[in-house]
Formats: sequence, C-alpha cells, structure tokens
Amino acid sequence: MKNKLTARLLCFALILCALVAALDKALFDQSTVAPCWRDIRRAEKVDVLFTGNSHTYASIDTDVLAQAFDKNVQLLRCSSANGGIVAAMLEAYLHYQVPDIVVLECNPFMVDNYATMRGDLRGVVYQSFDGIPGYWQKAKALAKVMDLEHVPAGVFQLFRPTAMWTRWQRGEKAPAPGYEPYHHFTFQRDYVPADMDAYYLIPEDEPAQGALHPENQKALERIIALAEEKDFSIWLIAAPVAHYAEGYQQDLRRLYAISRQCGRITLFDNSLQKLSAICLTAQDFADAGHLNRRGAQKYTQHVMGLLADHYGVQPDAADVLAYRSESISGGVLQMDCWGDALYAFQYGGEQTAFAEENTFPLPDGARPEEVTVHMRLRSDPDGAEIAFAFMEERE
Amino acid sequence: MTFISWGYYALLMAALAAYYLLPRRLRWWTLLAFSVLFGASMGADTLLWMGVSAVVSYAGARFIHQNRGTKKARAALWISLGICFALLIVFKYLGFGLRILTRLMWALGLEASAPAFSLAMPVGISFYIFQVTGYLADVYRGECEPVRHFGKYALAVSFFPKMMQGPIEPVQHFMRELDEEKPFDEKQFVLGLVTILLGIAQKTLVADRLAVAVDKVYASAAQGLPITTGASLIAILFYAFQLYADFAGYTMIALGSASLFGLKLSPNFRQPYLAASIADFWRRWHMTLSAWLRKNIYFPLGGSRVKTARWCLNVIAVFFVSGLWHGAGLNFIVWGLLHGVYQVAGKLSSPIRQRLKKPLPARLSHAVSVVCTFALVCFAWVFFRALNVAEAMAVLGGLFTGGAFSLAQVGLSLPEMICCVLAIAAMVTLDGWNERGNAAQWIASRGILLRWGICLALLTLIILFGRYGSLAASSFIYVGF
Repeated sequence: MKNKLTARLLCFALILCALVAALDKALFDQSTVAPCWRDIRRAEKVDVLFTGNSHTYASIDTDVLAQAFDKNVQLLRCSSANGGIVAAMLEAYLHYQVPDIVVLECNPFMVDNYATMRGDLRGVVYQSFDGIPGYWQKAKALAKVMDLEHVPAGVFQLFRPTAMWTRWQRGEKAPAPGYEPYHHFTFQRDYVPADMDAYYLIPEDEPAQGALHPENQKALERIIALAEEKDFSIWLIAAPVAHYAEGYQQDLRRLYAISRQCGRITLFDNSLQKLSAICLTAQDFADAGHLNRRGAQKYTQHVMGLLADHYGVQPDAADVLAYRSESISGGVLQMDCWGDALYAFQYGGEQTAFAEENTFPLPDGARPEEVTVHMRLRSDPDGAEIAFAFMEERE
Repeated sequence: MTFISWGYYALLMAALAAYYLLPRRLRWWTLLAFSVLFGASMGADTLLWMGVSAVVSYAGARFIHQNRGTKKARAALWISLGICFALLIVFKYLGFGLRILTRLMWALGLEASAPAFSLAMPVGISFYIFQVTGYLADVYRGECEPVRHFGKYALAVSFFPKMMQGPIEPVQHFMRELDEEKPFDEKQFVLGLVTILLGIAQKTLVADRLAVAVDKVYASAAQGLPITTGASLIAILFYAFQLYADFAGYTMIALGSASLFGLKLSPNFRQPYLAASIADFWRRWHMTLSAWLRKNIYFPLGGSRVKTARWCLNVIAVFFVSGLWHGAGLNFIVWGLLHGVYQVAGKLSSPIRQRLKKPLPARLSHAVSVVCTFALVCFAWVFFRALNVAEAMAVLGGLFTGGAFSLAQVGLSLPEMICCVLAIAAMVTLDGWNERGNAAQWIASRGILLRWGICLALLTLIILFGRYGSLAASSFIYVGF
C-alpha cells in the first residue's frame, strides 16, 4: 500500500511539474530574452562580448560599437548581477561561442553578492538565463546561482506588491516617471546628482587592503581560468560613477591589484580621477551609480576609442555620427550626438550653417520630418557628411 | 525554518522516510531525533531551554505523583512551575517589566533608567512552557499519570510540527496517540497532505496577501501620517482575516504534518468568525489555549460557581493573563482586558439582548449576533496588531477622519485588491463549508481524479497568486508569541 501511495505521489509531482512548465511556456514573455542568446547559434564569430549589470548596459551601447567596427559585438547582461551570476552566464555562453575579448565591468565583482540581492530580483536573474540554449546548459548555469530558499520568489507570481517585475508579467513595462527608454538606456536625461562633489578619494598610491567578497573572488578566478582554458582576452573596465564610497574604492583597488597580477587581463582604469578625460561632468549622471543618456553617449565614444586602438582602425564618420538622438520640446527640435558633431538644419530651400548649435525652432505649420538634419564631424569639417529627415526611422 | 520553506519540507520528507522505513520500535526515536534537529535549526539556545524545561517538568511530575497528597508534592509543583515560568519571564517579560518599573519610578519622582536589556525570545517558548506547566498541573490534580519514559515525554512536548505555535497539546493526549499501535492508514496520510496544502494556501494566498495593506496602514499610523476612513476600515477588516488565515494556516500545516505520521493533534479553530457571542468566539478561537486557561486559571479561581462580582473578576483575570501571554506590551493587555470586558458585559446584558432579539426571526437574530461579535473582535484586534496603544488609537481614529480613499493608501493595485477580496471570500466560504462538514476530509475522500484536480488547481493558485519570498511575511504571526 505504501509503495502504491509513493508511486502516486511521484506521479502527482510529475504532473505538477508539467503543469508549471506548460504555464511557463504559455505565460513567459519571450521578447524579454536577451538578444545575445538569440544570436548565439549563428555561425558568425563573436568578436567582443560585454558582460555585466546596469553599469554595463546602461552606459555602453554595443550596437553602435558593432556598427562602427563592423564587428560582432554582443552584450551578456543581467540586471543587478554579481560576480557569480556573470561567471555562470559567461560559462554557459562559452559553451557555444568563444569571443576574442570578454569585457568585464568591475561593479558585479565589487558591490553585490547574491545574498544581498532582493528576493524579487531573483526573477530578473532567471529571466536573464532564459534563452540559454539547451536545458542542460541552462540547468547547470541556474544551479550555480539558484538560491532554493527564494525560488520561486520573484519568478512565478503574477501579482506581487513591491516587486520590480515577474517572469510572467507580459506586456509593456511602463518606465517610471522621468525615465525614458532609449536603446538600452533607461535612465533619465539630465538628472544631476545633488551632491556629486561630496566624496572622498583614497589616494591613488595607497595600496589595496583586504580582499574582495569571497563569492566574487571565486567568480573572478573562475573567469580567469576560463580565459586560460578557452584562450580569450579579458578587458577589465570600470564604468564611471558619481560617488566613490570608500568601500567602493577599496574594491576597485583590489580588482586592479588582481588584474595586474594576471597576464590575461587588460585593465582600463576609468575611475574618478579619469572622469575629465572622458569629458564627464555632474550633468552626465542619472544617479550616483549610473550615467544618464548623455553620459552613456560620451562613455560609449570612449570605449569606441579603446576598440579603435585595439583594432588599429578608426570608425567611419558615418558610424560615429550614427549614434544620435532627436527630441522635440515646445516646438524646438534638438539633436544630440556623442561625437564631435557640427549641425546644420534644412527646411524648405534654406539651410543653416554648420555650427555647434544643436537646436532648431520648428517653423509654424511645419512637420518635424520636413526638416533635414546635416551632420559632420567637428574634427573633420570638410569630411563626410550625413543627412537625414528629423526623427527618420533608423534600422 | 518556517512552515513555508523548502527546509521544513525537506526535513518532513526525511522524517517520513525514516519513520516508515525503520522498525516500528524506533519510530518514536526517529520523531524525537527530527524534533531535536528542528529545534537545533532555531538555535542551540532553543535546545537548551527546551531541555531544561523538559527535565524539570518530567522530574517534577514523577516526584509529584510519588508524593501525591503531601506538602512535598505541592512544593515540587510550585518549584517546577516556578522554574518553567522563570524561563518564560526572563525571555519574554523581563525587559517589559523593567521598563514598567522605570516608568513607575519616574512617576514617583525617582530617578531611574531601565537597564539595556536585550534577550532574543526563543521561538515557541510561550506554547512550550504552557504545555509543560499544563502537564505538571494535570499530574498534580491526578488527571493523568506521569510519563515514565523520558525520551517519549521529551517527544510529547517537543514534537516538531507543534513546536513553534502549538497547538498546546495535553501531554496525555499525545502519549495516547504515540502508544497506540496503529497500522498505516492511507486515508489519514492523504488527509494530512490535503490539510497541509490548505494550510499553505491560507498562509500564502490569504494571510500574506492581506498583510500588504495592513502593514501599510499601520506603518502610516506609526509615522503619524493621516489615515482615511476607507484605509482604516480595510486595515481592520483585512487584519482580522490575515491573523485568522495565518494562525489557522499554520495549525493546518501542523495537524497535517502530524497526520502523516498517523498522529492526531488537537484542532485549534472552529470557524471563529461564525461565533454568535464572544464566549462562543473563545470556544472557537485558539481552542487549546482557551482550554489551558480554563483548566488552569479559570476553574481554580472558582469558574462560574461563584458570585457574579467574583465571576467578573475571574474572567477579567483570565483574559488579562491571555493578553499578557500573547505579548509583553500594554497593547496586548488592553486587547485581553477588552475581551474580558466583552465577556462580562455580554453575560450581564444577556437578558436585555434576549428580549431585543425575541421579535426577530431566528436566522436574522443569529446573523446580527455573528456580525456584532465579528465587529467587537475586529475592534479588539486593532490593539493586538498595533505596536503600542497610541498606534492602535491612530488606526481607530482613522475611522472618523473621512477623506478620499485610494488604493495607494493601502499599497495595493486594483488586481491585488481584487485578489484580497477573493481571498477573504474564499476564507468565508471555507468556513461555511467547515461549519457543516470538513472540507479537507471531503477533498481527501474524493476519487483520485477529482482529488488530484482540486489539489493541482490549489497548487497552481499558490504558485500564481501566493505571496512568498524574501519580501513576504514568510514567518507566521503567532511565532512571535
């Protein structure tokens, strides 16, 4: 009798798992799967893989980089990822593709660890792992980061007060007021942190003390081991932040010390002292830890320069100028471009002279798309020029 | 390790496997070992004070029985009770007592400051101590024989499903269950599983969902923010069902878990919000605590076999103790005293109320009684939920402020509010069903297709709409007592 009961209970458990899997299949929003997993099975080799959390994807536009160098540049992202999550995702990715360069952003290895990650953000992690081809690879990756106590927290619930989002919440996720989605960037324009100047910098020559969080240390060592095994280079970069808390600076120094000991890692130090080199100011931040859209444009340009040095090529002006945005406010058209751009606006038969002025008052009765924008690189004013209708759809 | 955690169910499954695979004579050893493991998961200090009180109560009961009728027995009773209650007082009431003493000294114009006192209260201590002291009293009164085997006694008082929040099971009842050699009963096993499922549903689908609105309103009250009438009403109503679903859900999981081992624990609830009077309410709510208070405080004080004035004092005393048992705070004492006053007023006004109800049809009269009782209970729950009396008064004050209501005031979106309303409707329906029968038994006795269908549907609802995770109130309310 007990054996029959046990068999029935196992059968019930299997049916339950099948039911949950069917619900997941039906309710999960496939559009949230990261593009890098959709592209991963293509035969085309991946040249550069950017990894990390919002400090990566909200500060670097990899599409622009790909277009500028005609390289396969992918983004392996996970909101609030810590080192362990980055390592697990990367390991799964490397099963299918081995890029030439893997770009690690410092933040996941510095601040977060899975234990401090809010329960409702677990769903984000699991979502980021969706798209990993193959159930076995997905299971292996998830097993490394899964916290049983919190499964299925943040994953399955349909209505969850105070939660950011769930795996099964379909449809457009409206951005919070003041936040405008643009490419990968979701941060507010022109937000200026009130007290950006209120920071204390540890002197650069002060040596690193202590160690990284053990989980993050382990994750970094794992990635270095993978780099040795699969033969790819690691670039270690630190996206600029507006505030450098002492703990943050200590962690940066520890990371830098590790990278200097490892021949596989090339370090690009973008710490606070270097902000001016990237022309970043207080107006370029959305909050203490993230660049806003303008800052991200500048930082992408900076990273483009790093890639240009690496590949020994300069991107086309058209590619540089391709990274632009348009907006209309109060009847005034505004262009923004991270590059050194000169603008000229043409309406009807008349065109303004090329100048740094990036706004154009829309004439009465005119539609924005009737205005043609001309752009040139400031560094090459007689060089190539691009022209397009304002708010023209781009590929 | 709470009842809504993977750890508990992993332990339960391991215990079941060991229980049914090992020889029958080792079964109680298995349960004791897993109970020790469960206690250890809550900290070594938990095992320590449980061990001390188990040894003291076991030895005390044996000594009392051997010296029955003598002064030695009486002395042994008081010493054993003293040690057990001393544990409870130190962990639960010492800090409160010192604060009260300090305030009294200030009131008398004496300079004093309460020493910084911080001792983490072990989980389940109130339930556990009441269990062992109830046993001592029963042995003293000759209502039961002392347990001979210390190991079995230790199991009786520390059986892991009832360790955290009861029920406050009389030891002799549990020993009878333990000693009875019952063959494996598949029906009882399935009933146990269904009961656990219903308990989890009550906790995650009802209690924790309603908690969002309740916590939001009470937090506003604590911060001195204005509360509208709508928000106040919602918080009061929701808390009544949150507390019930939380505690009843826990109890169902405890009873269901015990059923899996073929053991029956005492039920703690009998549709309390269908009570037609406060006295009836306390025959339906936390029944094992009520039984303990009745047997060990009310009856020794004379019960109802005394003059009215003395009876009133007895009732007030019982509910004062009940309030104090729930928490070391004035708000709990107020809550307890309110129920005492309700009982006294109810008894004294009974003739008038009977005359008023006479012209009404029986059903309408009953319905009015149920609604009035529910309203009185909800009013008292405000003090139970609040951190202090001032917070309770702020929430109650919100009933009279008016103001435009919006869902944001209770921290819910429209779909979430609908979920809450449906959850309350489900609880009321379940209670209505249980008043006439037993929902868990009905489900467990259906054919396999219907039974599985219901259970799968329930599990799916829990996965989709249940509230759990690090931001949910995954610990149970009564764990804090």
